[in-house]
Amino acid sequence: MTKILMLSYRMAPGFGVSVVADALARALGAEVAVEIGAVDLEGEWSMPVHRLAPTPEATRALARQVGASHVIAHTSPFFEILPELRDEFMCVAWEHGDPTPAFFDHDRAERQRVKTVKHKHIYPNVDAVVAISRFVAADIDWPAATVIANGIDHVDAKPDPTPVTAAPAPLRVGTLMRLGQGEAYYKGNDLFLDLVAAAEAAGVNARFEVMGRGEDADAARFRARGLTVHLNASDAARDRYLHELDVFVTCSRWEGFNLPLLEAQAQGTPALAFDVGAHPETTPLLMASLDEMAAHLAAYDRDRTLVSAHGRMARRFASRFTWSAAANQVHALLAALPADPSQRPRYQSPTMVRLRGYWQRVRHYSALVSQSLRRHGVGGTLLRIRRRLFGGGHVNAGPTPPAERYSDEGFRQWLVAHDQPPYPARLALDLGPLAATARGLPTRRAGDLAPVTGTDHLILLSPGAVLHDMAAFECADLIRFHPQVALAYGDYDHVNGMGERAEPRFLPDWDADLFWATGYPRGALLVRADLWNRIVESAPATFEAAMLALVLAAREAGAAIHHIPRILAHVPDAEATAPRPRLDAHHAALLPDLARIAPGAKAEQEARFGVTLLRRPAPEPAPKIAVIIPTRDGLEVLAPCVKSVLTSQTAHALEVIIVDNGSTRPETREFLDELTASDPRVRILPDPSPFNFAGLNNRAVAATDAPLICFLNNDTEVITPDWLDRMAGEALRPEVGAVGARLLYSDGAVQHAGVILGLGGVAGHGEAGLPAAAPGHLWRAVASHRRGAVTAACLMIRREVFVAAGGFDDVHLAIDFNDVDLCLRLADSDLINVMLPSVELVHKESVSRGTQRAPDDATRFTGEVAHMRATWGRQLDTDPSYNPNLSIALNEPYDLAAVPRTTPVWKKTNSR
Amino acid sequence: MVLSSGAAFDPRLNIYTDDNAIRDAAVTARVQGAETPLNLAPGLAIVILTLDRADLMLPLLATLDAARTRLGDRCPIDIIVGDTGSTAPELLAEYDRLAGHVIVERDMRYHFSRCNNQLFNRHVRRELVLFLNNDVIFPDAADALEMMIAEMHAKPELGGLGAVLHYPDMTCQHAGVDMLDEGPLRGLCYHPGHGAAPPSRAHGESWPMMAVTGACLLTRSALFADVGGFDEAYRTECQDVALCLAMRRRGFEMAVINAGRIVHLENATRPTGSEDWQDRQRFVRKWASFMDMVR
Repeated sequence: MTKILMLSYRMAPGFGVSVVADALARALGAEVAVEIGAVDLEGEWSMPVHRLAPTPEATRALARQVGASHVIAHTSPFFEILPELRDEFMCVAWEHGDPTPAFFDHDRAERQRVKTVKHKHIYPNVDAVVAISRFVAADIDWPAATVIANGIDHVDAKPDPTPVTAAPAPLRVGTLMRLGQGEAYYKGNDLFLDLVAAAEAAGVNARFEVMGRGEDADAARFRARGLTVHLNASDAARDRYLHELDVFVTCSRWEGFNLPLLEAQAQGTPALAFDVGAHPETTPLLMASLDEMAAHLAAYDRDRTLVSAHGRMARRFASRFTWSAAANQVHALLAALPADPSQRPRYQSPTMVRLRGYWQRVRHYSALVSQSLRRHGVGGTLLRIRRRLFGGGHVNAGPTPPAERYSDEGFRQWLVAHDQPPYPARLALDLGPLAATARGLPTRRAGDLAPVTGTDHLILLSPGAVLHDMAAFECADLIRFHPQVALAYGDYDHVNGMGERAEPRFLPDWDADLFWATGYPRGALLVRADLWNRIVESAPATFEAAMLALVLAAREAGAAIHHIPRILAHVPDAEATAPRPRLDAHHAALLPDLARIAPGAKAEQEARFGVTLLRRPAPEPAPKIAVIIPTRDGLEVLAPCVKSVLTSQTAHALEVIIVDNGSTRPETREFLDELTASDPRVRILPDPSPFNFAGLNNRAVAATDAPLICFLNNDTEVITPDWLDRMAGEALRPEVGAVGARLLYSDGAVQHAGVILGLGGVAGHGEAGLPAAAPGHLWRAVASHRRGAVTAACLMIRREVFVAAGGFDDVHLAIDFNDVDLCLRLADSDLINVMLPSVELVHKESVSRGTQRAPDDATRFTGEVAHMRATWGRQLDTDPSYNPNLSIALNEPYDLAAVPRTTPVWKKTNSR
Repeated sequence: MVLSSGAAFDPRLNIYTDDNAIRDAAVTARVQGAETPLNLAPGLAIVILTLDRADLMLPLLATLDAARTRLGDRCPIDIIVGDTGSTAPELLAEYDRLAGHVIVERDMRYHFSRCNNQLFNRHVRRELVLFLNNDVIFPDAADALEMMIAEMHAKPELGGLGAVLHYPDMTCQHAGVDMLDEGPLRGLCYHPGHGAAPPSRAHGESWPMMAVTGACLLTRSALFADVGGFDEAYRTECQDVALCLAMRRRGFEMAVINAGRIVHLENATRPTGSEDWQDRQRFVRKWASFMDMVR
């Protein structure tokens, strides 16, 4: 039997949520037993009630004690407790909605925080969310919520309507609302007084009354205007009041449902409300403005029979809200949920559930768009999107592109090829069966290795991949702006045998280095037909080989490779649990073509994960490397650092420049003297100016003629013996700017494996805290790849490139972010910054600078943040190596963004 | 219950796409609209908006002028034309020729509700007002108008009266407006019987409908002003049905009359395919629950 524990902060007579819990419990009937837990408890109830401390432990104990199978929370703080009970109970959040935080002065921030927490952490982590109106479902922005409207038949409705007060006696007009100061604005107390004034000005013969909970002081402003105020009335008095009124009005600015509005109607009293909140669902008499409401009251005053007619209408309207209907919906909801937590489907990861609302929205639009594609073609559909026919207010305004951009030419053949539902525009070549063909099996499906004719573009699917409904359209949209696009890939996720989607992979924009290392695109590739026809001759045996051939062909044709930051395909979940085969296949495909990729390089497969490591050889003769280490005393870290540098294996000539920024301790002096005496490669550069990391390094660069510079913090220690050669191999590539290394904390966790621009405001280390043995997002903690920026704690760069870029900014960015700023300038000059995780160093971060910031240091830091935002602004939030679907909130790297920084297809303008 | 059902609805009709705070601000905003006119004289004012289309306007003005002459003192008629920027020389010449007979307000900026409300406020001084599209063609305007006016006098409970309108092939274009009560577009309005044979009603017979089209809508000036005229919040559509519903909410009824073979060249001046979903959302949001109760 189903047993529900309902949780509400307060159970008290007349309190809305209590009424709902009580009436619902009774309506659910015999097969569902309900008990109630509340913190604040008074009054008599028809089911067992328990006083409860609002803690997870107490709630769990109570749920066990009553033998609950389901826990339904109606209010905070029990919403927040639900996710902790999921292991043992099925959990449902029953949302009554929260007024817009902007309506409150004193606790606006706290209310906003609660909303955010619920959306981000509660709804994704419960088994179902119920909203009491369609408005609440929209307001909490959780489209997956089940709407279950409250009933109203718990009201003790008088069978006969009271006769409407006959003229010339004044019409009795009343409202019922909470009068407390904190809620006065959102409940529209001021608007009610304005309404009274407007009605008086219009000569309406009416007497206005107010009923509500509050203090005498709250009632004073109404009494001062001569209104009757019924303060803290009993339930019976409330029913009588609503019954005896001629007209009920509510001036509330926000309502998730508005129970009094419907209670009045159940009593046969017409009820007027503004067109805000859930009112379109809870009264047929909606007013757009105060003027309209006053004019309507004037009409009631003139024609009292209209009041009776509307009273009858109100009663009919209210009669549709029944608790038995609500109970039926609850039964259906419970039946749709698994019986207990052990039967929940796999892959209910919080991220995926959070995506559900977004996907639901996408499905709405894909239905519209696919219908439109059939009826109007691509050109017509794009035009309709421009004309906002799909989105109402959702589509950004923007200039309409010339009509010819919407022509069907170039799309037509591509789209008509396979018009099979549910994919309106599918031309898929599935290499799975093709590989089978190669083994002599007679399987052929949508295509084969023959050249393709009669189409401009085609979509290549990885084995077992299924196209997302919107994929064809996204591709068409890309083609609209880049008609000559040769190769493009999108994001993908995994789908299991039960068709459940999980484990999304949001990929960076095109990253050749990561591609050589991992072959990271998957799912669907958009391929220009001539490119395909060029590679079919080589008869690639696997998807990985085909992809590699396409990338090389595109590269040799000088064509850009595009990334569509949207999920375009679903791949089998086996690839998520066992990715090794695809990496092996990629490595095998890469080896024969190594000379085309990186002449002279060696490729080896990294042992733990199987990513491919390319080692580029040093040229002959190997250019000199200057390692620049600024220090001020700190001998305990400096000594091991210098020692590890001097003992590293390298084919390059090495110069170690120790910038002495005013060391004072004699043992430092002694150490440095000894070092210069014993090793001619070491040079001391005294520079006692005030600490300015950027300036110290700039001056040190000026003091050397080495073609390669490696900036190194004094609190690092080299782990990889041939680190200089590996880094130099990358830094000497003409297209490369800065090269970074993987830095580990002393305890072995990752400190730096690349910077994410925009993270936490300016930039942050996305992999910080990752265990050393983890591959990270898309293997980026172990595979060479491109980054918006890398840290200068260990950064190698060609001297000419550093000088041409103007060096570090020692004016605005003395200490922090000068490395990020440099990398951004390099990127502006079309150089790429490479992150090389195969080079490892220990970084005892901030040992030398201390972890505590002095107050003036905080000012300095704030100034540097402001300078970065002012200089780079949007570029910080659009890191090409970081997918816009991923969060840039502090502490949330690689988490899903609450709001993707992409424009969904139905919001697109042509301005990208 | 129209709006709280979880059933599939067209996402274009999602009434909760905008910010609640915007609606909140609208509550206290003063809206322009029709004002209550003083000293209404008996008779009829006809309000027509046009942009060029001399081919339609010249015969229409001629017919209405002839009807005015024929009805004479039995029913004095004012003809008021709102011109939203015509350039056709023959139409402009006709305006000059009719000066004194017809009131022409030139150079209006087109907005159906606002233009009609402005014309009403500035020029309508008769008890009855007929809003007429420029693409309506009367076989006999005097007969039709007299019949409609008589109906309004005979039935004081009528707030507005529409006419059966025909396509040029004499199939039915309009015989009243009703609400779609199922399917994803539930809450939107349509013309029942549209495209079929016209309803077999006697010449001069009238019958109640939920609402009528604004292409040919006869109403009472005082009532029109009392409900604020056409709601100017609507940009292109739904304002006529909203007006009918506002009148119903004041306790009046709407009816359609068979007043002969009146032709309506639907949307002769407005392109098809320009559905305004924002207007439709606004309409469904405000009126769907009410329509559900009064149908």
